[in-house]
Amino acid sequence: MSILTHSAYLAVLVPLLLAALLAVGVRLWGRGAPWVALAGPLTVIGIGVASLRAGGDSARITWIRVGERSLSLTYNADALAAVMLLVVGVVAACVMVFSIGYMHREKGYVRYYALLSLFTASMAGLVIAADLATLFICWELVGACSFLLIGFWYDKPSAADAARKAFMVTRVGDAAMLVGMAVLWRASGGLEFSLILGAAAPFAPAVATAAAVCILIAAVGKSAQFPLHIWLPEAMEGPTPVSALIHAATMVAAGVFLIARTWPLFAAAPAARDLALVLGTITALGAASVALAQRDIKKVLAWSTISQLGFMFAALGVGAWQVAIFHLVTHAAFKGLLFLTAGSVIHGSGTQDLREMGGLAGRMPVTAACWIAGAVSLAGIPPAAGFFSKDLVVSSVLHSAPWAGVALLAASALTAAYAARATRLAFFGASRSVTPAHEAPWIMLGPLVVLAAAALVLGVAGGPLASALGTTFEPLSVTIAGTAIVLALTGTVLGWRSARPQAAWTVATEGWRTFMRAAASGWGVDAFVSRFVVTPVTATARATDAMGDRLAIDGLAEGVAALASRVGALLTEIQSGDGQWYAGLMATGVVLLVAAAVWLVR
Amino acid sequence: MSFLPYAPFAFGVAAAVVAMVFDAWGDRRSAVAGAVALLAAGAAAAAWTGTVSGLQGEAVRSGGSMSLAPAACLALGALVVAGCARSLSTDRRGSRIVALSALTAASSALVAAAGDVGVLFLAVEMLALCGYGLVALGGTDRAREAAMKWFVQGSVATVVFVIGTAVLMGRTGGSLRYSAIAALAAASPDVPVAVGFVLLIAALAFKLGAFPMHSWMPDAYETAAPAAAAVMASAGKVGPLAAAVWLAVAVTGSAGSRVVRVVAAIALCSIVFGNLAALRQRSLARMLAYSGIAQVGYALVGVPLGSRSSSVLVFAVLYGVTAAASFVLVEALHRTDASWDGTIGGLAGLSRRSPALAASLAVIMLSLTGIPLTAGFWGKFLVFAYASVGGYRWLAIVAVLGSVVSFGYYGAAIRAAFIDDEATGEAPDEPVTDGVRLVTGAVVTLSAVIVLAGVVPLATGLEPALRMLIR
Repeated sequence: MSILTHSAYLAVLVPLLLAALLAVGVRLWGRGAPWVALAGPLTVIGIGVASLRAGGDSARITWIRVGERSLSLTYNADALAAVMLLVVGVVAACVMVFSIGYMHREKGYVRYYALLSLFTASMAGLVIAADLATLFICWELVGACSFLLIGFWYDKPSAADAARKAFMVTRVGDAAMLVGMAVLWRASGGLEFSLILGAAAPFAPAVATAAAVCILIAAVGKSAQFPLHIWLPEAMEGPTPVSALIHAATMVAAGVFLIARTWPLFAAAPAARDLALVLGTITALGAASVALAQRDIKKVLAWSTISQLGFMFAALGVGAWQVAIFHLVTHAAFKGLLFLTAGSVIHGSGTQDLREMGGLAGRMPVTAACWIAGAVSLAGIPPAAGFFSKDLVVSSVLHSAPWAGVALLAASALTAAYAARATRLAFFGASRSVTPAHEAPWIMLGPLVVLAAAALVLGVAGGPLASALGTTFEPLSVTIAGTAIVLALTGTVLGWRSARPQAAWTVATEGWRTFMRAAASGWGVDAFVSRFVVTPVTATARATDAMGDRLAIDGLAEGVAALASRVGALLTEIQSGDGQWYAGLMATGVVLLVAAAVWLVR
Repeated sequence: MSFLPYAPFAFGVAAAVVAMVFDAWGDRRSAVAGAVALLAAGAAAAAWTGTVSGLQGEAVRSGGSMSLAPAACLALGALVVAGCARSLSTDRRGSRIVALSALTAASSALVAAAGDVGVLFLAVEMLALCGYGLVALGGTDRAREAAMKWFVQGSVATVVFVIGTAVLMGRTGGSLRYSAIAALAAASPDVPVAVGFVLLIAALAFKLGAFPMHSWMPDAYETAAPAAAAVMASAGKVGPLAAAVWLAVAVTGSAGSRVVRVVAAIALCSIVFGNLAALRQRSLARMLAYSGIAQVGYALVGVPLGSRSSSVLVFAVLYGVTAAASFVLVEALHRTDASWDGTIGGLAGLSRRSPALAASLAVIMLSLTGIPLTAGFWGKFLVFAYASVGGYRWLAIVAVLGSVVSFGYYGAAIRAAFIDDEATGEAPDEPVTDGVRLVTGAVVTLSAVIVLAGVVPLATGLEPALRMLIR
């Protein structure tokens, strides 16, 4: 184990080299690519386990020196990093194995695995980074991998558009992060966590608040929180296993991780904390209601992810960052599971529209069982893992901000409702499918079973996790847990009933239909953004292009060019071809020069 | 008296003689080979004199930075003759071009090394006569006409030179040494010295083709054989530029230095005229001729700078290499495509027909523009930087603007070679002959040298490169 304990950088280096190997020999690897790539996540898991047991390996390399200050590349595999490494490694390994079956017909098979490896490396780098500069580099790299994988089917216009949108929207957050880094650099002279988060806490309240808000905006962008959540539903254009890895379990949770990592900064900035709480609560409740109205199985899960991340942000907002990490871990398990199961369903039934499914439980029993395990965990029904972590989130929020706690309880009822609705629509009732579905091969079911087990039993990991992170979780309160269970069961029943055949699509009243349509479109946030942000920005850009670039710059440049050419034409007249004229010109020149010399020296 | 200072010129003259003798025997290949070998030996001898101390003669100077320009003249002559070897050894007039090229290189070297106005006069006249001959060897009626017109103007320049010499001689009381002129200029600023200096500069400006003594250049370069034009444009320019520097050094350092502003005026006019006129040209050689007027203007920017004027020598050598490459390129283009009409538009599709030539063309044009990573950048950078710290900032600004305009025509050649489509369909695929391969190789080698000279100072810094060039 010692090499794993003392060489945490291998978690980045191994998958990175594998990605390079795969990329170089695209034609060489063929069907062998997954087995090569799999070594990456396995290394990450190994490093995670070793670091969790033996404690952090750390190192630093000075990168850029500016006067007395320097920018270093550093890492530190502490407990938080180790937990995240385990999450990243396990989910990435499951996704890679699952994809052997899911992606086997695809053209870009090796490219896919190269990108997954690169993502694994970047994500591992992100979690073990011990300074904001290193973290930011990896932060951008995971964003780039997300862009490339959403646009995996780049010849499909909708996929290319979705990739661009995801990249652009998260850029907003990235820009804020750069500003935050500049603020911290100016105030403390470095970006290392030991410096900016140290016990000295040398920041004035205004500086801490400014930096924390900037970092919060970055996290909001990456973790798809209101109002920067609009990219995530469209990111579902990518392959489904990618959605499981990047857009459910790991990258989107990076925002939560970032805030947990820089927690001392937020401890000094109450305004930023309150903002996180408000945004998280709005997102949790709003996204859950949108998920209830979706018809596409992946869109349901996408909105559910946004909503669950909202829970985590709310927990961060009240200071319970360890609880947020606990929910991050369980969520990675059950949401990764749900996405992979959805992949299996899409693979087996050939559709991702809930209206064309139904009765799949009979044809795909293992898939159905795994989905139900995930759904139970998502709905927060004991003894599944989701129950424990969500209960901790709700109770810690209730203590500090009762209004938010109540909103989260409502959101968990909605969560149970959309989970039940999707379950019934997909797996129960009469079959509405055109082609008969078939169960997935074992290479795909294996990862599902592993993740299903995790989604059911990870609840017991709460205690050890808390002690690893240096805290203890409060014991379950009977009142809160009881209320949550009752609400979850009520939600389940209501959701189940709403999913009667025909009921969902032919509801009676006009008002209800309008309401459902508004919910299905994400409460119009996307339309608002495109109307009041995108349109004005493009219009301004167009105006600048027309006025500034074409009229002023081009006009000036072309005008000068035309003038020069005109003068040149005049000057070539001097070249008459007449020898006497040339000699005369020369003599005149000499006379003028001599006159100038006499005048200069006189 | 040591023979060593005169060895380079002796080698140059010997090259011409050997070429003529072999030509008489009808062995043109040996004529070319012998001339190249002797010119190279002359360049080596000149470079060697640069390392030997205690040679400083009076009438013909050598040693240190005095040896840079002579060595460059002879080396450029050898390079051009070697690069165009195939056409020079097959053409009927080839050996005569070789002989006159060797004499051009040798007399240009002597122009640079002269320390006496009398020697300078003889060398400049020799250089001019070789030039008339080289143009006349173009063989066409237009070439002979161009040579004739140049000769007529040249006689005006000769008269100007003689008057200038007489004025100076009268003032110094017989001596024509630069040292005597410098002593005179330092003692008292007076009109005769200034007039004499300006008349000599005007005569050199005629050889250089600076405005308003430029009129012979376009016709001469266009009608001469490319090899001849290459020698005139490279080796033929370096010598007079060095002479202008030494003359200016002689008369500066005293109140008489105000007169060097005349050179700044010539530089300004040349830059403006050369660049604007080049914009309108369709023929590649003619465009290179007009742009050569502007290039001479850039070089003259550095002449009035006194002790900093040695930057002109660096510019001249780097420009000489690029100019030689550009006319050897013209030769290569004629040989690869016999149907090429010599226009810039006719280069369309070159990147497909001959990627190596197209890439070399791009390198050469970028170097002439003065884009970083090429040799041309460092020459311009040095001259303009020294000018702006030496009290001629306005001139440096004009020169930089001129360089910007110059990309209008240099870039047009690159665009034609790489972007424009061929107007008429496929050119017939001719088998690549030995001669094409040789001249293409020469162009590619010169381009590689240009890039190398542009890149190496980035690694070593400018100091070691300068110390190597100007001791």
